[in-house]
Amino acid sequence: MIANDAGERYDIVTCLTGAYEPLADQDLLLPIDTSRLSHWPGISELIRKATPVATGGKGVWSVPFQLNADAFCYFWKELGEPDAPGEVSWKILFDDKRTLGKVALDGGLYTIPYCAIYLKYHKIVSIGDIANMTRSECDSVASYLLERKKAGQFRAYYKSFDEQVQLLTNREVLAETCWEPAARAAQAKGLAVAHAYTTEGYDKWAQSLMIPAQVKDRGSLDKALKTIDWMMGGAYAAEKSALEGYLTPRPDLGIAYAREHQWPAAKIAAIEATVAKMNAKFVKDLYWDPGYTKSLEYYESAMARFRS
Amino acid sequence: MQSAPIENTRWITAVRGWLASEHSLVYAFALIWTLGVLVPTIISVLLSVLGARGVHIKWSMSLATYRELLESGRWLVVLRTMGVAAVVSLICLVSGFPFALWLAKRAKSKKLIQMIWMSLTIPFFLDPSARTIVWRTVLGSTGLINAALLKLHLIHAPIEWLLFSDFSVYLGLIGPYFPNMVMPLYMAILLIDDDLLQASADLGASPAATLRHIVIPLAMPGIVAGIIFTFVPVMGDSVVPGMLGGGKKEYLADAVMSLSTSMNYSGAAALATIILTITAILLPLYWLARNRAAAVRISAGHAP
Repeated sequence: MIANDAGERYDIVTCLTGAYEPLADQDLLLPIDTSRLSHWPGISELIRKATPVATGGKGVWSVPFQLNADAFCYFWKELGEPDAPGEVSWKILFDDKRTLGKVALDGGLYTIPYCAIYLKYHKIVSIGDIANMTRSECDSVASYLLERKKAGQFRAYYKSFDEQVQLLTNREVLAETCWEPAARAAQAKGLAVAHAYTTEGYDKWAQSLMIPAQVKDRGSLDKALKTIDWMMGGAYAAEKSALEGYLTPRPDLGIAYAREHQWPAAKIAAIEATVAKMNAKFVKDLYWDPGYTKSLEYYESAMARFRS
Repeated sequence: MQSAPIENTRWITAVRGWLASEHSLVYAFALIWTLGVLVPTIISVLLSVLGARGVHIKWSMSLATYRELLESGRWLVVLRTMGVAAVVSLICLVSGFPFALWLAKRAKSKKLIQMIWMSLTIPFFLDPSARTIVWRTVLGSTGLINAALLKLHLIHAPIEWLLFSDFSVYLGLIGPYFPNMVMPLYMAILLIDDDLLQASADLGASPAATLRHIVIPLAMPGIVAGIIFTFVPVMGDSVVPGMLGGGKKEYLADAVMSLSTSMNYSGAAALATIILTITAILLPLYWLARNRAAAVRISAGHAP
């Protein structure tokens, strides 16, 4: 939005909650008047906490529309580990003889905080805030990863969702950091893959809807608010949670919608399972994805050192 | 109403006249080149020393960005990428030269030559990702080669280094860039007069001596052009190292992308400047080779 004037062309933009900050600072966003969202009053405490409030009581900067706790997936049968929702450790990924040379990681920056979750929890490296690590903390994480790379722990670093799925279905790896839909795609092919419930924690994230400042002059504010309200509603919630396992701000409306439209019991159960999963995963302390960090360059530089 | 066609003709004549004058074309080209190539390049070099974070530019000169590139180990990335590009160029040259020689001087069947040219152009029509991803199904743990070897009981476990290794990166790069080497080689060898080769043989030179003293010097512009056409795009390839190398080692294009997406534009600009400098160093080599070939031609009694 900063670099390409997306606000000139779009009425709603999405990003990780937190990334709104530089946008709001530069007056590129319109505060959202939540009194005009019919589904707003019923949102849970979790969503309320994840919602950035605009200064001066003008509303909020963005409304979350999907949330999840990212971790890794693993071939549980082959490794003799419990299937989800049994808890497993990130050790499977970083320091495990059974998975030596059979692990894939995110080729972008996420590998740094993922590994930091493991290192901080087990006090292997002393880390303050994973969301805002110092240069030396990032360096320590990179050094640990480099050491494990030299030991031959990792097989590949992927760039895309397709690759996540392919690495699993082609049996290139036994475990990999991944999005939940990738685990689901592998499960759909009959593979005994689980998206982990972990001992240490997750990359907990929310994606938000924001309204660019230009919308006001374009006269499309009503349309934008109506769309956001619809995305908080039952139809969207039901489809999203059943299909991808992502939580939406009003899962209660999703369950009600599915029942009202007489969805099959299995699909309703899937929505309920999503809610239960989020309750179990979001209680872990580590860690809330900030979406934006001022020390981004440290993460980038650490990842570069790991890969160079 | 009547004057309109005349006006039109006048206008066309004027444009035609302007286009016909040699200088105007030169100016037009200079303008396009300045806007399209020079300005972005200068901005890129400036960004690398000014230090830009996101869209905020600090208006003070410093080499801090270059120091950061050193500290994060990215100089290794530059060396590695150049190394891979050099090896790939060399392999393409060694295998491409005899091939081009045969194609230009020995291949007789027109149909065969056409078929070969067609297959050499295929890589240009395929999307880089599409033509690369196919290798995964061939080289992977459950891929064609491993499956076949396992079935024949030649191995007991899949060969892991076939994919996500240096081997697979080289293999993936040689295929698509081979035509880049062959085409200029072919053109250069085709231009060598058959009489020269005949004269060399008549004077008692062995085929090896003819190759060394006649063919290679005269084909030198093609050799250098081939090396540049192979070396430079291999340096910039972002698809193969990621898809076949498993992204385990970072290469230049990847590094530039990673720096850009984390909004470290000055870092990306600094890397781009380094690549540009290397390319600029390569170009004089081309002129040297051209001049040398011209000298050989003159001494052989041909106009340059």
